[in-house]
Amino acid sequence: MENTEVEWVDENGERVDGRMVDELRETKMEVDVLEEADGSAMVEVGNTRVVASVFGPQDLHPAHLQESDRAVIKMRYNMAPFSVDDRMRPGPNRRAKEIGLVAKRALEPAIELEQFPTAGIDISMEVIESDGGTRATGITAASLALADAGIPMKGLVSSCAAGVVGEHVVLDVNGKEDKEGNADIPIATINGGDDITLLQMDGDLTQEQVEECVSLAKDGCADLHSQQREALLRKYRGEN
Amino acid sequence: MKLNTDAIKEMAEEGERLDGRDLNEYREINVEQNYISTTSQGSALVEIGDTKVVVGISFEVESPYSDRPNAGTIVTNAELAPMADREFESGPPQETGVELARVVDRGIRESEAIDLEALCIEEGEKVYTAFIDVHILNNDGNLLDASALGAIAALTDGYVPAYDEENDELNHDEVGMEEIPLTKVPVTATGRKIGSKVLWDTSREEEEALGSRLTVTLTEEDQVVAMQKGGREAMTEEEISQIISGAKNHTSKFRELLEE
Amino acid sequence: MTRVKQSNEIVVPGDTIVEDDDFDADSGAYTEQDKIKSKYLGTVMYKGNSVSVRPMSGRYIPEEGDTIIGEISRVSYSRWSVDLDSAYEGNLNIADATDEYVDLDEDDLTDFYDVGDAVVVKVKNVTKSMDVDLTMTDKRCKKLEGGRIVKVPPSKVPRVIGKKGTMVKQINKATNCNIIVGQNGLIWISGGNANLAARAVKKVDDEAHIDGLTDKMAEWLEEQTEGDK
Repeated sequence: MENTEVEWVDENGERVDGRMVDELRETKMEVDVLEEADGSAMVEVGNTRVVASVFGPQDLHPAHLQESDRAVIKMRYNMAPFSVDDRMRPGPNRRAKEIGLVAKRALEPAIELEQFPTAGIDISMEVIESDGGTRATGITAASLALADAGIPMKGLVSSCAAGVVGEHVVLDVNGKEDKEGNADIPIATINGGDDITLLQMDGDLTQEQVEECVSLAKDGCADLHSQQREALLRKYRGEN
Repeated sequence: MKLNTDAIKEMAEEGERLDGRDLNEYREINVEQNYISTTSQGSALVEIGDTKVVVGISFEVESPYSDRPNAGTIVTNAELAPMADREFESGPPQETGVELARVVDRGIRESEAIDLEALCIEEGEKVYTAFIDVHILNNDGNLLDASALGAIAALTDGYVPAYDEENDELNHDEVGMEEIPLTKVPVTATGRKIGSKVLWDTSREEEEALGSRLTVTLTEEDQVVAMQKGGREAMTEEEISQIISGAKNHTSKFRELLEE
Repeated sequence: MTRVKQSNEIVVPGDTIVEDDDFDADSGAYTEQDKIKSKYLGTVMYKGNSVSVRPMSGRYIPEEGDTIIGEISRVSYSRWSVDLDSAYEGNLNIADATDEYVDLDEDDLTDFYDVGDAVVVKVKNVTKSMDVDLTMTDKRCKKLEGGRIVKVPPSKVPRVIGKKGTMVKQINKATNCNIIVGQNGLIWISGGNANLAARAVKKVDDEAHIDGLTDKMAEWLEEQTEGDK
């Protein structure tokens, strides 16, 4: 149920956090943040912060899960108890498991799994601070972690959500807009281009609004993609 | 690898370590308080070498225990995130995680560091519960000291949110008490035995050669408020005394860090 | 011909390297609509008409002919399983492990190699389903005693060895250590100033992408051993 008392976009075109309707929150990305993992990254989008890790290719147990001609991805999404205002009980719940599945599907099309028959690749996303867009941020971070781990891919996957608040289509929905607004549509694309690997929707919209959201979110993904490139290259320019 | 574990044991007897440190030398320690600034009510990131731990404090309103109707409660939890170590698996708390939480908890609870009566809202009905959540992000050994340091750093950083009587809920954005009421600041250090020698701040690799360990929690007055022995081997009285003395030295250095 | 990325330039997965259908995509690169793109975060390499990308990192994948360091993980009736720090384990059959006559009913395989032993082995054969057969018949192969093992990503191994062995020889000379470099990134260091050798290896790992590393390392090793003179 939308909260209709909030002025979602004021007369200056500013949203509740001061952004324009087509503006991404301030984003920071860093790779190779964890030593034990084969690859890792931390991405901050506004107040949302997610750390992602990759282990693999490695031995996969139990053996009956192995596939003879490709690697199998195990994906975990989890929110730390202190990552939300009302503390969450530790450990992935059903929502977390569903997000893990959807995130796996968002990343899989870009990965060359056939290079590692019978092996496993374990991807993990820990949300340490949440203010909306955690699954999108997680996917963006996981893709960086995969590149950092040296996993062969067609390209990088970036993800963000567009939504509708009041009657406005907005990019990169924050926590308040997600909770009290009308709709939230996260998407993911490969190489900031046209191949969409994630699409979900919650809300009550016309087809035109949906199409506008998808188009806006695609632009957001393209922006994030160029930031991902920068983050990876920065590591080797010694500026990380 | 066994070859390295053997090397670690041999070198320890000579007072040497793989990374060139002295037996009682800690790696570089970094503490960043208020690390989770928007959703928790006290937090810290602690890095000891490559070990990385985030601790967050969250408050909720609950009913008190029947035997202490005017006291707030503490719940400590530790999550060994699978990302921290190739050997960690997802699932219910493993042995190490449960012990970690309990050791961190004991240091704070038994020292009565938190003034629990100050956390009473309505006797017998409503009290604040302080949740101390330890989240391990990268394991390169000495999770115990990193977690305990993170917990006390988060507590000294935090605030107690205001209780909204009308709606019977907490307003996490409004400050009820500017500081979490602490009566003392307990700090923890762990001495670990490899062969016949005591080492401090062991790396993940060194811990594979571990014989036994003793975790000691001390107050500002160097009073011992909690101890926990772990590991499969035995320890002598001398070794225990040696570790307590060593802990006094190391915890005072941690206190200096916390004061910065 | 459009070379979007030059030789030795660093690229990320999905980056276009060349827009020309006269070029072929080799290891680490792929073709998409007349463009050759990178599969890895790595460096671009041109060789004649083929374009490849050498990844910056990645776990070890066994290849025939590699000399590597592993740890015995299991002893069975007539063979050993060897952990290669890879997704794929290696098998060492009795016939490939020793020239001695072994009576399987009388002798104990653990007399040769036991669980936990570190060994230098060679990859004899890798099947399509990733069964890896090892051998110890090469003269470099042996059980390792003492010393320590440090790890670098397999992709950095060529840098640690250096052109014609110059880097590893340099480290060996400055430290007086025995050094065996496994293609899987495991490096055995024994004797001499092992701590300095280990730090030198880590430094090469951290700065592998920098030009003139051999000279830089020579200087650094010189500085580190100054006090010993």
